[in-house]
Amino acid sequence: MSTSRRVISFLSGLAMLLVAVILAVSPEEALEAVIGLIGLSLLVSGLRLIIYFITMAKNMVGGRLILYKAIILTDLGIFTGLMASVPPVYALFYLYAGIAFSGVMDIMKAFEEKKYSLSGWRLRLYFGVLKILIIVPGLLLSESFHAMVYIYCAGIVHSAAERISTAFRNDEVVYIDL
Amino acid sequence: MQIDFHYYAAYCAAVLAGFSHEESMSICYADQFTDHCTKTFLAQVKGPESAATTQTQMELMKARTDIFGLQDMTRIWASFHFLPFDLSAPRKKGTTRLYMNKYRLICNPNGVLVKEMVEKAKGKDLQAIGVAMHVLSDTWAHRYFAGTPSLVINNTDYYFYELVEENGKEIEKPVVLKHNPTAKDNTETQKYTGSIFQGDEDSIMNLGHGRAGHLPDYSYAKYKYLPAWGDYEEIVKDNPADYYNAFCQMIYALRYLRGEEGECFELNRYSFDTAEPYKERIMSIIRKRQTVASEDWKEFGQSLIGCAIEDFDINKYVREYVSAPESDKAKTYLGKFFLAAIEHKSMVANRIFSSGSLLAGVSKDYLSMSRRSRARINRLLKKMGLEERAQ
Repeated sequence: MSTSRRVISFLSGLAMLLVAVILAVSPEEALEAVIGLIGLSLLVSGLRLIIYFITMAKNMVGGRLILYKAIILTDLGIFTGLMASVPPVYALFYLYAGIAFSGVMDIMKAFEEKKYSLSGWRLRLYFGVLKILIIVPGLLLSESFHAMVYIYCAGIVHSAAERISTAFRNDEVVYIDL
Repeated sequence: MQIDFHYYAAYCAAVLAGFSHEESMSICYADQFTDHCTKTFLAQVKGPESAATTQTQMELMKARTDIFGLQDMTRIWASFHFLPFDLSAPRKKGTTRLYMNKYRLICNPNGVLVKEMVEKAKGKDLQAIGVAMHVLSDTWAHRYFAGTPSLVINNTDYYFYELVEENGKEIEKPVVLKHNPTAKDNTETQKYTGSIFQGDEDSIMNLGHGRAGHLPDYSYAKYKYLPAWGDYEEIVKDNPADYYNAFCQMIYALRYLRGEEGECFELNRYSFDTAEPYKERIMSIIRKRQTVASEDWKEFGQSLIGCAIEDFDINKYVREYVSAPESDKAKTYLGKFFLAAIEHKSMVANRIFSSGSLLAGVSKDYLSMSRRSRARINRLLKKMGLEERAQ
């Protein structure tokens, strides 16, 4: 990983910690902003992929997969943005689903890394399992809005820790000597 | 290609072209050294950073992924390992300029840049000849891939088969490209190591033939696959035939550089006649299913004029370069290599820039530079003990 990427990973981790603190202090107002931010980032990623498909990937073998990914991301971005206007509790459930999905992806990636004998698989597995475990008490306490928010904040803190630790992790990639 | 071809086979080609043992050793050393001259090495010997002809894994991992980092990578990889075939390839229907800039960097043998490169090497030091031979032979091994990180050009997918001869028949065997960094390529089970799929257009995983693993570097391999740029048309890459052509073209180029083949270097011309008496032996080395054929090439090379070929040693000329006074560095073996590398890189970067692409950065012709810039360059050259480039 290049130094610039490490810096970005570290700074985004710090930004997430800040978001968690703001969310914990004033849940109602901040929740709307968090959902808006997530929606916007998904939308931007989707649109970027659409532009990439039009300018480059449409000429590539298997390039349509990039278009499908772009459509899904754009759609998710719009959907997430619309969540800002539903009652906060439902929006929280949606965010929980996002964490669970991210956790499952981490676990799958960890097993793939294990298959390739990459040493970082245990850490990834740990983060994946923890993400899923974090939402369990949140769902159990779903009658208390504030409890759900605090648990979601814990999830953000956890993701921030993951990003910060990534910034300091050793590189291990499969690269071919050309 | 690897040390077997860049060092030992290059020695054989030089000897067959008429160079002496010592000259052939210098040529093949420069050929192989092109795969070792990294910024890390240059920093150790305090050489010019711009003379880098390759990058280590660590350098690639740490490389900046912004436009400047990508330009640096492209200058190195497109110049020395994936020489573009046709920088003026006509725009394909429905493609953007962005796409075509990458498409035009696809490497293939017998491009106009090969001609320009070999002709420029004429009358130069043996180091320049060695660099040219490295680039020429890589145009055969690395054909169909580009020397810039690009998913849309260099990606490969599951449609990948090795064509293996069994009982006189050619059969298809699916190639499995794994990503285990500790696993060795298995030539019998078609399990090879390739770089991981990364959806990022500019990821280093998508540089050159990384996605196809080392298959392009194995002389025995014949395989078919769908190149990302090929509109779903499969390509059959016949390494044995390509490597033999590369060998015979090297002999022709080296004979031309000795002044035995006229004034112009002709593309699509090979010294098949010179190689003919040894064809059976050469083909048996090329076709042998082994990942490195150094021992076989070395044996063949030693049998040609009866001289021992010493093994490649990256530090062979380091002491000479490091201990030389500043004004004499350019006269040392490494000094001459660095100059040859800089000159070649500058030529290729300039051609890429002239084609309207910024992928290798901005480059200017020496003669079109301002008087002030020219004076600065001449002062630098003088300091290095070299004559002025132009008056």
